[in-house]
Order: sequence, then C-alpha cells, then structure tokens
Amino acid sequence: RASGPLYRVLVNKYFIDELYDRRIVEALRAAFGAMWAFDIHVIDGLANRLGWLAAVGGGALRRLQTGVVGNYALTIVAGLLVILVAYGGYAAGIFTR
Amino acid sequence: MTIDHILTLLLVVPALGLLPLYVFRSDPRAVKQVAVTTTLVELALSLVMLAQFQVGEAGFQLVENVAWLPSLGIRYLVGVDGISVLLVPMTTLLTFISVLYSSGGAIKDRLPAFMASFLVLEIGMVGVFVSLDLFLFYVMFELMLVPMYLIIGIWGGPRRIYSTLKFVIFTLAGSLVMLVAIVAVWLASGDEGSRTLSLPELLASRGRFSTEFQFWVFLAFGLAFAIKLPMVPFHTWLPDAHVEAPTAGSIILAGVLLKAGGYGFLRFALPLFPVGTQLWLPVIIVLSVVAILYGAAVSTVQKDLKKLVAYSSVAHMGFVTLGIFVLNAQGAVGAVLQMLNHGFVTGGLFLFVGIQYERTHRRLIADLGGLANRWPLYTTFFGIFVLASIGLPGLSGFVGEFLVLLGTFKFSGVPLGGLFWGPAAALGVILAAVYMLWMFQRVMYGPVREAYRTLPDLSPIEVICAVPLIVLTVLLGVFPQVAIAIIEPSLEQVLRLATDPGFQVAFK
Repeated sequence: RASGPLYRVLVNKYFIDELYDRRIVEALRAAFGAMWAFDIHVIDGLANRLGWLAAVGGGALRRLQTGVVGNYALTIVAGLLVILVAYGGYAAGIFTR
Repeated sequence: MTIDHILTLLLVVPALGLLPLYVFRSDPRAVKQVAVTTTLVELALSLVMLAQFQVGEAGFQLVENVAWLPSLGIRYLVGVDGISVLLVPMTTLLTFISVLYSSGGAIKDRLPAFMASFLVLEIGMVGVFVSLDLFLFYVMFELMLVPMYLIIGIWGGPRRIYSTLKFVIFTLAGSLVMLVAIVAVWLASGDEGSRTLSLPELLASRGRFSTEFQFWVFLAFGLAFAIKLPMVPFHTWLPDAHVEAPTAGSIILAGVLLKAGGYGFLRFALPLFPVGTQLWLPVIIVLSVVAILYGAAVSTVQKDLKKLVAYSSVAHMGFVTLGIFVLNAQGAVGAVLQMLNHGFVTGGLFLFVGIQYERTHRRLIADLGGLANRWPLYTTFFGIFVLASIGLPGLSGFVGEFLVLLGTFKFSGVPLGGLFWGPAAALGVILAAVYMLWMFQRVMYGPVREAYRTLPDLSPIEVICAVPLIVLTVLLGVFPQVAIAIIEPSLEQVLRLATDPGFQVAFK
C-alpha cells in the first residue's frame, strides 16, 4: 500500500542512509571538529604560550637594564658579598655534615 | 657523459646564477630568464648525476672528500647513495617548477630578491641530501632556513610575519638542540686530535657511544628531524606557514624541506645510534600512527584549501616515520617512496591550489564550486593529484603507503604489535579518501559562481609545470621497481647498521 508504514520503510531503504548520516557522519564530524579545536587551542596554544612567556619574561628582565651605572655597581657588590659569605661558609664547613 | 666533481658542481651552479641575477636586477625579463635557466641547468646536471650513479651498489658514490677545518677533523665530504640519489633530482625539479611558475606573473614585488632566495634555498636543499659530514649537514640544514624565512616573510599572505617567525623559531629550536648533539658526538668520536664528524668514520667508531649517550643524542637529533618533518605534536607551525607562504614557497616547503627530516633519520640517526633507535622506537611508532589518524581527521574539517593540504602532509609524513622505524626493508623502501611521492603529489596539489587562488583570490572551500565546468584541463590534472594523494593503485601514493603498511604488519617490536598499529594506520588511508574527495567535490563540482565564469583554464606555463609531476606520479605508481632497485641496496645497509645485534641496550 502506498501509504502504509511498511512502504515508507521500504522506499527509504530501511532508513540506513539516514542512520549513517545521523549517527556516524555527524558524530565523526563533531569529533574531528573537536580535534581541530584541540590542535589550535591546546597544542598550538602551548607553543604560543611558550613564545608569550619568553616575550613577557624578557620584558620583565629588561627592567634590570636601567643604564644607571650605580645600580650595576651595587649589584656587583651584592653579588660579591653573596659569594664571600658562601665561600666563607664552605670554608667553615657548614655545608658538610 | 661523465662529469667530475658533479656534486660540487650541483652546489655551485645555483650560486653562479646569483651574479647575473644581481647584474640584471632592474630588468624583470632578464631576471626571470636567469633564474629559469639556472634552475634548468641544475635540473639537467642532477639528471646527469643520476645517470652516473651505479644502480645496485649500497655504498656512497661520486664521493668528494677534502679537509675543510683539519684541526677540528671537519671535512667537506659529499656523496650520494640510493637513498639520496633520487631526492636530489626531485629537489631540482621542484625548484625549477617553482621558479618557472613564479616567473609567470605570480610574483610582482622584488622579483630579483625572490629568485635569489630560491637559488640559495636550492644550495641548502641539495647540500642537505649530499652532505656526509655532520658539520656540513648542519650548515646546509640551516642554510635552508634563511631563504624560506624571507620567502614566507616578504612574499607571504596577511599573517606572514607571525607565520614565518613561528616557522623559524620551531625549526631553529630543533636544529640548535641537534647542534649540541653534534658537538657531543664530536667529543665522543675519538681522543684529542683524532675526533671527526664524517659519517663513514663515525660509523667505524660508533662502538664508543654508550647507551646513556645514545639515548640523549638520539633524542636531540630526533627532535630536530621531528620538528622539520613534522611529527605530532610539533606540527602546528606547518599549517600556518603553508597558508601564508606564496605558492612556490609552499611547493618547496612541502615537497622538499619536510623530507630533510625523514632523510636525517635514515642517514644519521638510525645508523649512528642503533641503541638510541631501539629505545625511542616505540614512542616514534605510536606518534607516527597518531599523526596519520590525527592529521587525516583534522584535514576533514578544514575550511581553507591550503590548510587541508598542510594537515594531509602531517598524515603522509606519519607514513614516512612509521615506515622508517619498523626497521624492515618493506617499511623503509615504502618510506623513501612515500617521500618521493609526497614531493611530486603534494607539490602538485599546492601548485594547483595556488593556480586556482591566483584566479579566484579565494581559498575557502565554501567560496568555491563548479570550477570543473569552466576548467577541464585544470580539473583533470588536479583530479590526478587528488587521487594520487589518496593512494589510488597505479599512482605513486599507493606504492609507498602499501609497502609501509606491509612492513608495519610484519613488525613485532612494539607494544600491541604490528597487527594493531598496521590496521590503525590503514584507517588513515580511508580518511584520506574522505577529506580529499569531499574537498574535490565541493571545489570542482556543483553550480559555478557568476564571478568565476570568465576565468581562464591553465596557461601553457602552468601545463609545463604540471606535466612532469603527473608523468612521475604515474611512472612511480606503475613501475616502482625502477626506483626500488636504486633505493633498496643502500637502505638494507642502513637497516643492517641500525639493527646490528652487537648493539644492545645496556644502561650503566
């Protein structure tokens, strides 16, 4: 019968194409889209964040280069003191039990 | 005809072209003629080189060996074997095609500088494939970087600066780690005064490399090659670089530069560090199969034509690393054939995407459609490249992928075994058909846009560029034995060195 439910199933080939479209093709397309988003945001995002870190880190360290010689001299003296204290401590044997 | 010092000549000819290029820099016609002639001479020379090569011998041929920095044991040592002898003509052919296509009007700005970049690039590319001294190899490896940086950065698309910087920083990060490893190898190669970086001598003294040493040095070399290839997860520079690069840049980037990675593994990493190879092999096999599936999956959802081809390259390069690291003859021969196939086919795909973009100024798949009605010639050629990329039997893509899969099935030295990873990789071949055919359908068929109705089909120059690639794709697909006979003896020797039972993992 042209209007019966059996006819509808048969003329639509048991809805197999629709099943594939809806269940498999759509699902895969969504999954692959998610993988692309992962590629852009996670993998590439990590790479870009590393670059950003270098830029920001450099920007922060840049402030150390003030060009004021007095500051550099102060840093040298401070560094010397640290070395002297550390060496003194080493010589006195505080690092060995 | 035999020409002495032909490999040196191959490195010198592009440099010779630079002088007339500079002299005639104000005349675009002369610039084009000089560049095309130079690359054509280089191509002819590389074919003479191929004819001088003795097929069936495993060792290095046409060797030239001169002390370069004697106090450091660094030599100018060049030679070819079955692995590299086909990659050199592939390089010169793709360079010639790139230069010829670019002289057809695709590049309007600063033409002399563009052509000069390509000639310098050609020296670096040929140099990488003929260098047998690690230092010389490193110099050539970096020499490829600079011109490509300019090619993307000056003649690229709107985001060219971001992309070219990303390309350079990624590649440089890898190759500098490799430089550290080269220094380490030099220090370990012998005692004071007898240190060396030449490959044959290093192979003789590789017994000095301990397991710990090989673990780290292989990692460093592998990182450089993995970024260049590129392997997942170091691949994200590639889609960006390809999208922004001019057409000729994309052809060379995909066609030749990526192969430097796969070639590096075969030439240096495997034979020099058999223990390192064993240690890292499972990681690389898993990453290769991931690259094949992941690259293919991401390709299917691309909206931009160039990005689609770029991600498909990631998948295709996965076959190269997979084939190399299953450590048997089928896999390795398949990997080298896949490198050649990818050079011709993906070079062709980028050429045709570029030709299309030149006319429509659109690269988004959604903006195209119906071009088949207007461009019968274009559709035929593009269709052949698309089918070859899928791996249709009779075209070059099939042979390489099939041999790699065959080699993987036979391989058992990896967790879960080759019978798991082989079929997993084969799924990628199916996905390739999905993204390539779907793209072809959306771009070439359907209703044609009004604006594209009057656009012309291929010009004679574009046909000349495409025909050699098509011919080689068919030849390699129908008569792969010609190439296999050249490649196989040398590969078997590399595999013997890489699987030498005298080298076992022995951590102290």
